[in-house]
Amino acid sequence: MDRMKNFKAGFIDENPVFGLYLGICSTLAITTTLNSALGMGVSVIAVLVFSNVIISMLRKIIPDEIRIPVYIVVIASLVTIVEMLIHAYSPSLYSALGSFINLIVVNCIIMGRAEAFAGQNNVFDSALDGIGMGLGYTFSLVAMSLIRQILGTGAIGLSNPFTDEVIFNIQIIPSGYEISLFNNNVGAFITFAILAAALAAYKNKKSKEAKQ
Amino acid sequence: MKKTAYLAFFLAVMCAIFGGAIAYVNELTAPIIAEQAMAAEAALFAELDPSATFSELDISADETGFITKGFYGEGANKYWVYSASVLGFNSGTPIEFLVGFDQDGTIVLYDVITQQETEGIGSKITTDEFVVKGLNVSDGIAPISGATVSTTAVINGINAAKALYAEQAGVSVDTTAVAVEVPTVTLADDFSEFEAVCEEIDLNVFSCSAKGYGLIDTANPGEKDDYSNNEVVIIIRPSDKVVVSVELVNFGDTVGIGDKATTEEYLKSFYGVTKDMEVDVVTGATWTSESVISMVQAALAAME
Repeated sequence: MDRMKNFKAGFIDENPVFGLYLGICSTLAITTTLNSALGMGVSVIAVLVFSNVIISMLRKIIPDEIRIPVYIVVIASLVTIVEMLIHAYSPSLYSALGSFINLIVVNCIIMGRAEAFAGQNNVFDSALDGIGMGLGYTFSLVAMSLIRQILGTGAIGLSNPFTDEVIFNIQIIPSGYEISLFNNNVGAFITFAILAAALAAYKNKKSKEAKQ
Repeated sequence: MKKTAYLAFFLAVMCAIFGGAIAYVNELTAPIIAEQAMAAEAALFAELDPSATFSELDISADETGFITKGFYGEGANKYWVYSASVLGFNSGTPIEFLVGFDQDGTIVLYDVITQQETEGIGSKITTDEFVVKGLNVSDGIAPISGATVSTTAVINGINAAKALYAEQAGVSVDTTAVAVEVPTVTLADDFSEFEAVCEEIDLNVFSCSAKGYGLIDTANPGEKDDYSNNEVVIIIRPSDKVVVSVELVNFGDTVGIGDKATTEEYLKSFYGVTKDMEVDVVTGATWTSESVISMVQAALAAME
């Protein structure tokens, strides 16, 4: 197995959001700010890596008939733990992400990777797959949030999720010229469609070049 | 059978292991989360009176179930503060707020901690328009027209806090008589004096016109030249004959008084109403409210 290729797959070729269309619900909902996008991305990476590692470790003893319920127990427990940690150590992120933290349980990327990868591969490769896919997901969230936050609020900013201290806040579009559409669902769908189309166009171009 | 038992046992063991992990993390994080909640409350208490120290009160006498916590504080004054949780228009997220009284019976603290009521309508419970702070414990609290569900829910919570305060501070408060009702009428009432007329200008779209305060003889004899008919456009859903939109076209009543009954919020309160339903009347703008109501009634009658 080409480990590097497998690791990089989550960014472009098998990008979970814009390539495989997985985990779109939370992507559309929480990409209004860079802070929420990074918070959600890190949470998903943590759940994805630990669920992949645990499932990979247990893959030989989990009876095939009940593998899905066992995966759900593992994933739901990890999400509950992550939720409690965010609630305790980053209350502002907890209120910004709201119920979408709990909804990580039903994020198809996590169950998808448990079933398609971690259930068949060793612990190291599964952890690498979790990091790659999680980073791919985070990369997608950050790309969407950058576009939406700049166009919707005119500025781009980031603050420390643990202390709420502002790290940077740059006004890019003059006040009064923001497009508030990008703060709501319509703007989320438009941004998603443009980025998914761009990725599809890039992949088409690459495959044509490969054939030639 | 043996296989099924094994599978059930395996799943039970997995649940026990991961349940234990969750319990361990909960043990670590629960005190931190509780500390944060207390810090948020402490910040509000410090704002109320920095010199006061607070201790928790027994709230078992609360019969409503709205009160979640109670505190007693002593500083420059004596304070009784209650945390309440009530359900407003958004049944998914309760409205959680703090209300506090001093020893003279004045409401010295009202602060909404969490709410997800409709922005611009129910969310008025967080604005100065909803007057709570500064009132006496015996004063009635007026709900806001067009936001009656959210404001009445909060008032019910405050009344529960008043009842506990009365008992714990040893004062007499008649909590049953303090709620001020928003005046309402039903769409079945007689509004013929407003002479509302509706014309269907498009499919299910009615252009309506009705007299208001200034044009009705009994209300304002003389000076009729300053007034004109109130006019609205009303859209009705044909399947169940429900109002889906009321838009103001012309306001013909007294500026600064009657226009309280033609605000977007008030007109929005008609969305979803149908024949014979109860509707709010804006206090201080009764004639204009009833003029609008007469037009909604006429549009619904034209749809019949």
